[in-house]
Amino acid sequence: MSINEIVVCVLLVVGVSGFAVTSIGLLLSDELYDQIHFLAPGSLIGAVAIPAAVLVHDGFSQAGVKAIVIAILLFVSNPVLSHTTARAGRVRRKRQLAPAADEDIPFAGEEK
Amino acid sequence: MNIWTVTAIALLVCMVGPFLRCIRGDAVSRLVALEAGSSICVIILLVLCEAYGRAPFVDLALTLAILTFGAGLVFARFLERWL
Repeated sequence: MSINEIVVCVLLVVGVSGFAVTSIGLLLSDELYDQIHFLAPGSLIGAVAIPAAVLVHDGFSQAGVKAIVIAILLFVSNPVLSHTTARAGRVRRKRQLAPAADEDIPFAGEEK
Repeated sequence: MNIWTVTAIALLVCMVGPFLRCIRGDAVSRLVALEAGSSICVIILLVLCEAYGRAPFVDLALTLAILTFGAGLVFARFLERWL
């Protein structure tokens, strides 16, 4: 087994374990914001490690370059989608985005 | 059967979590599961291209990655306002 293959295997194992954490987290957590947090391991570890394995395996060929673009797309879109989804979840529950009167949420910099 | 096929099968197993969350959850939880499932699908398509040596098919994964981003934004906006 060459060094290249060992590196590819390690990256694939790291990638699959990232997605496994996301999958198990989605199953076990019932709170919406916990579920949104569990999106991160998959999209940030898995979606970077596996395209990196493709890059190590194929070099800067057609597949390698597109794997980089896919990794960048998933890496950038995850935080945006997480924020948008959390916002939708809050508005659906509280009917507004701003803190309600009965919510004691100190804004950044405000003393509680 | 090579390392890439084994990886694709392992990722298919990882799809169980989002799939079950899609079945039993409220609307926003289902959207979260859809986003998780979509990113796993993107990577499965990429890995299958490697498994069968079909480099041109990486475009499928690239297209799904772009559509996943757009779909997530639109779904979230609809859930926030109209649904």
